[in-house]
Amino acid sequence: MSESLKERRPSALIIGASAGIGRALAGELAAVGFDLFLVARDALDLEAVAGDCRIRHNIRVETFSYDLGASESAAAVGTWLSQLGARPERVFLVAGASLNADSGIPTEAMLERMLKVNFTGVAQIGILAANEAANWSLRLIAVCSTIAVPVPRGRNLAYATAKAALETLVQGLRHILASQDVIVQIYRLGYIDTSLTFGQKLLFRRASPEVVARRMVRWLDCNFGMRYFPRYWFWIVTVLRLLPWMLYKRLSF
Amino acid sequence: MSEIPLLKSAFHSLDRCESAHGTLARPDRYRTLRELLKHAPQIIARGAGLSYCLASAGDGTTSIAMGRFNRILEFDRETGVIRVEAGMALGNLLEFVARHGFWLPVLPGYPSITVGGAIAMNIHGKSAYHSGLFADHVATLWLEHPDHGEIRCSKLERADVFDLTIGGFGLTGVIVSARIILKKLSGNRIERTRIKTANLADTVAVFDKHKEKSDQIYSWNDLNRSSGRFGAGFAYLESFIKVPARGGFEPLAPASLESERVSCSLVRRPLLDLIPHVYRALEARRPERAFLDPMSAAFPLLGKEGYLRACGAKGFREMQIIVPFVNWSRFAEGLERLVHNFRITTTLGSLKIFRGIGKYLCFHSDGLCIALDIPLQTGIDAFMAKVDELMLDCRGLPNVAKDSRLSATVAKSAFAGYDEFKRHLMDFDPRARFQSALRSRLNV
Repeated sequence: MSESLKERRPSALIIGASAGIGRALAGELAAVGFDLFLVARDALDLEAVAGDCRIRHNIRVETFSYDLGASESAAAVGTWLSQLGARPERVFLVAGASLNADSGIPTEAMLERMLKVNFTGVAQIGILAANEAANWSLRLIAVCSTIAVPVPRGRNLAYATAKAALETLVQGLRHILASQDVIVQIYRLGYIDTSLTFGQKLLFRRASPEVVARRMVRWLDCNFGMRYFPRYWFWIVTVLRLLPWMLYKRLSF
Repeated sequence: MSEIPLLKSAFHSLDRCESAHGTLARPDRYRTLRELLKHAPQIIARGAGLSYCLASAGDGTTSIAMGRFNRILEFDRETGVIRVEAGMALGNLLEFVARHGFWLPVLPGYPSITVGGAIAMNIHGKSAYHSGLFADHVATLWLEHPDHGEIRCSKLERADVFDLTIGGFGLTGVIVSARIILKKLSGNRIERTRIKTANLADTVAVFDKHKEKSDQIYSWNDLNRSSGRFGAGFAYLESFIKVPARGGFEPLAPASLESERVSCSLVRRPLLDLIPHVYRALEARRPERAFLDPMSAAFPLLGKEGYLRACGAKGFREMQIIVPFVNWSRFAEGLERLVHNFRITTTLGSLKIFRGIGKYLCFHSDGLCIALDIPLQTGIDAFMAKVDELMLDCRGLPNVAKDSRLSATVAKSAFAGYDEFKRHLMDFDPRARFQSALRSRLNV
């Protein structure tokens, strides 16, 4: 019997689902009835997230432990999904990591590491999803980026560089997939209350990962291209970009 | 370890009387938690941070906030056995299990208190007479220890570690998850009956009469009165009942209490003195019999955060004592004498009834449990020292978790298991990696 789109339960693939926004997103999507395919490095946390979603929402949750920073190929994720017969129609690429040591001029090793975790590894999954768009009846690719992309600074430069590369790739994918009605979203995130920002003195309030996830679920079908969250970051970034270089170079943020 | 963010913090007990300077870590995955355990020289787990004493922080100690470990790992809908991570708030857990027809047999005063905290302090609730303490309903525990690795323990498996961890103040390792045995909900409303009592003795008589029939029994007593009215107040009898269904339970009100926030000093002594009068007047206006949504009746301090904040940055003292039934009258008379001699004002007096037996420093015994909240005031230390003497004379037990000034000497005298606890703790963890202000004070 052929399975029509209406008969399929909605399903989502989340890369980076063991903590932070990815974990919160798993909870929010589970709450609205999505079956979940969760990928992250930490198998123990992934199983805990999966167990919680299954028990609370009675949905199908599958997990795959995969290290974006290792030299594995993203094909492993594709193989895992096809073995499960999974065709997730929404893909969330929220994995990412920054390090305190990423300060000033990045070392070669730092640049390589940040690019692998935040760009290459994530991009490979994005490309995999784009290639499978027709097979999966793909409707969405959502990517978490950072406000450091439009306003680079002396801190987390390798991280911001990797995210900028990811944004470029995803914008290209958006163009390619437009004919297949696949929505591609980029979230430029401000300060989020995750382990990346814990303990830091920041100028603005942190948004909780749960709030971010709730908005991402609310905007599932919105074809806005790129959006700042919290939204006020749009204005902050705009002001920063309008600053003359003489002033911008003196800023410490 | 260098990449794990640590926040330098000043920590306070809920009563604001015990403080420490340490660092706070907030791991959000097991890998980070294990790395912290491996490298931090002194550590202690931290749940909601709402203990009356400083059990989850110490000078130079890294407190590990467990709030991100708050997932449900297993749930058997038939048997009502659930395994959850230790950072789960009891309010959240209760909301989940109630939807499936179950209830937590023992509940603390506030919903953000975590499963790990409830086990480490082996808390009791309003149902102590029938349901015992929280850990009586814990089947299995999972601990992380830097030297012993992951330990799974229960009454049958590594029972020594299990016993030491239950009410062990987090000193045996980080409790990461627990399997809890729930009780089946026996109704969809709580019938609460309020009985006016003339004094402490009258309250005890009401307890004696109703203790077997009521699921929960406790009282509010005004300990500022005299001339045969010492402890006049109300006894509350609560039981689950079934009434025609009217939808699900109400959601819990948001929990806003944090020990770091109890800092408003606007309301001081004159107004604090009014609290018992205001409470009595408000209660007298309410119906003697009420049918409450179980969620709204579950956590007595929820919605009364202002009471603790009113005590201001200086804080208050709480003490809680179980007095054996045979010595109760002598204790009550002695307490009345001390309250009047020292001219002490209390903002809260409350009784509960206990039965059972505890090990080590566990607050569990047959007898009547009395709780006192006392705003900081002249003569309070001398008063409390005298109450300690009275307690020891009456063979009472202090609640270590509720009293931020309890000394090692008094604890040693009160608990037959004090030396054994200390010895077993050192045998288990000779490097004493788990440290807190409470541990230092109790010298265990």
